[in-house]
Amino acid sequence: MHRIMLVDDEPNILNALRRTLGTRVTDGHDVFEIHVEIFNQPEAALERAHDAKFDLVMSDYRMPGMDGVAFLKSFRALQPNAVRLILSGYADLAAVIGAINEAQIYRFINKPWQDYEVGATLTQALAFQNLLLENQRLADLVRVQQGKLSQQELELRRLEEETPGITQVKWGPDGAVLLYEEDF
Amino acid sequence: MPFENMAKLSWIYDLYRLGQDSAPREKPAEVQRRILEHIVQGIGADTGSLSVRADVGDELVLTARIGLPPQAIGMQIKKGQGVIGWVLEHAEPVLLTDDPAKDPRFKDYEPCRESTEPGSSICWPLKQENCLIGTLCVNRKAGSPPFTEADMAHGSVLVNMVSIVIENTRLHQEQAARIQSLSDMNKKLAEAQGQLLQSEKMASIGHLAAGVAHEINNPIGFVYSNLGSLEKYIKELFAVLDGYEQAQGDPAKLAEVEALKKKVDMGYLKEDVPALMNESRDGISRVKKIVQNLKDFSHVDTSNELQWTNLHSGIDSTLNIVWNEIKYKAEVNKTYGDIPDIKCLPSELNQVFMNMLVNAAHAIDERGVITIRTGREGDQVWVEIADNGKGIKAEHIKRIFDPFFTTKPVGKGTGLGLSLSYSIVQKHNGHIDVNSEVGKGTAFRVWLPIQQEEIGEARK
Repeated sequence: MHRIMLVDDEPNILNALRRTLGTRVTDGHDVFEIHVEIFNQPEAALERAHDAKFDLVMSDYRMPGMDGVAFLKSFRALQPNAVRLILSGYADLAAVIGAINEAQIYRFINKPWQDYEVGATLTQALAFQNLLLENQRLADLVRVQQGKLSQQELELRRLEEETPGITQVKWGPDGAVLLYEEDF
Repeated sequence: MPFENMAKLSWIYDLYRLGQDSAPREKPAEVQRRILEHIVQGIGADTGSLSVRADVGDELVLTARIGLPPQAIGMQIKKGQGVIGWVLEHAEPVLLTDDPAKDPRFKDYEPCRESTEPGSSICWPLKQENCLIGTLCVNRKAGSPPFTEADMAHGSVLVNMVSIVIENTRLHQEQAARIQSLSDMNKKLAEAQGQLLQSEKMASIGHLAAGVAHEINNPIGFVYSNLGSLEKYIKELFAVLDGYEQAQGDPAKLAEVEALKKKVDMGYLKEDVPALMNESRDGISRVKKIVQNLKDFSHVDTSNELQWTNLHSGIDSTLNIVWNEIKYKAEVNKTYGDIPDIKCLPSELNQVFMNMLVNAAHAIDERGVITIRTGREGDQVWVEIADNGKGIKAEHIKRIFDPFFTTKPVGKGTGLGLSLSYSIVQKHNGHIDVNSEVGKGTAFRVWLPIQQEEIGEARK
């Protein structure tokens, strides 16, 4: 099961995407079971990203308050392993450059979209992400075997990947453990 | 004595009028011919000719002849060339009672008086402020009583007036030409301004097109996607329906149908299809509204005729067009007063409102409020568009209506928006008030007369 987050200030877009994606995506080759969560406010989406891990996040570009690039940048700080995509009806050159250089997105999809295209792109993105993670795991394994990484560190990485933020404890001035970072 | 005619007031008056009235409308050659004719008659001469200084150079050009073959008109006469050339050189009148060929003064004399038997002639220089501007020659045939020294002296006085008339004619002509070139230039300016207006309109439309594309692509996106989902749903529904039809003949298959029904999640379909339909309908009506707004905004009325127009609907449709630009920046408060329809060019005024709304949005850095108010005062209405953005600096406020003045970064503004708004409002015989405070915001108030018959000329 792969967890997917969709962010757009237009609820109708989110509903339509949820309908067309359903519970599984395919590009005719790979098939992934998915669970979709939708947010029409990037702020709420980021809050959710503190609690739950996502494999893929797709955001609109033009949104009130926070644009797609700023949102994905913040999301990347929280969950660097999630694949990032932008689905937008219009973006100027500056937006595209920001999306690639700052938010490091995997794909840029235009609105209006083709259902098949979105499904296939999401499948490829998930396959790409699987490959990256697999690569990382194997590399870590090799490092452990070579003695460059301790068993504890490997476990820490696994935990962090499973539940982002769990290995980074933030302390308040009074010694309390902070569960939320308000000013990221 | 025929010369006495010349001293008559009425003759002088007629001469004066010749130089005044007809001058601007007719070719100078025709006016000069008439003046010459008048003089030849007044003097009692048989023939005559008039030469004036060419536009460039020292030469004279023969511009009119009376009683002589007209072929020589346009001929150039240099200094020292013939009798006229002699007068040109010496700037003195000359009286001839004999064949000029025998006179040593005219050694290079070329007979340009075709009259077979030249009797007597007088040739006067025409002077204007000590500057020779031409010559006037009159001739009498051999049979007529010859001119005398007294005639020449007499004529010298009157010829001064001829100079004035000739000079007058020339000035009139010059003035007419200048007026013509000025009005040509004015026309070109008006055309250029029209083009500027058009190009600013295109620039702002192009700028907005991006926003409008976003606004249209959103609904098209989800409606299109919903149609795909609906197709999928209907396929599933038909599968269930087919199952029931088969089960009618064969109750044993009923369990199979129930299983299928569970698989397609009929409960979810029942819930989702109405939602899908509602959302899609909403999307389509949004697209329809955008297209309608674009149409209202552009007004497809390129004609320059004043129409009775409801300003509020113009502002509303303009607001809808620029909504994409604004909605991420500001909330819009509308306080419409009770204003009557006004006579105006709606599409041009919409352009003014659009410009001010976009400016207001640009003036807001993070998030702000744009307030639109309208009202009536006497026989005028006003529309105020105010923002609580960064305001205009005092040193900029005098220049905001100057063409090409902009403080926006390169590529963001043309610097023509307010300048064209100004001329549009001026064309409507209205005016614009600006109130701005740095850090507090800016308010533009457009004043327009309710009724007017004709569009004024834009002065800027």
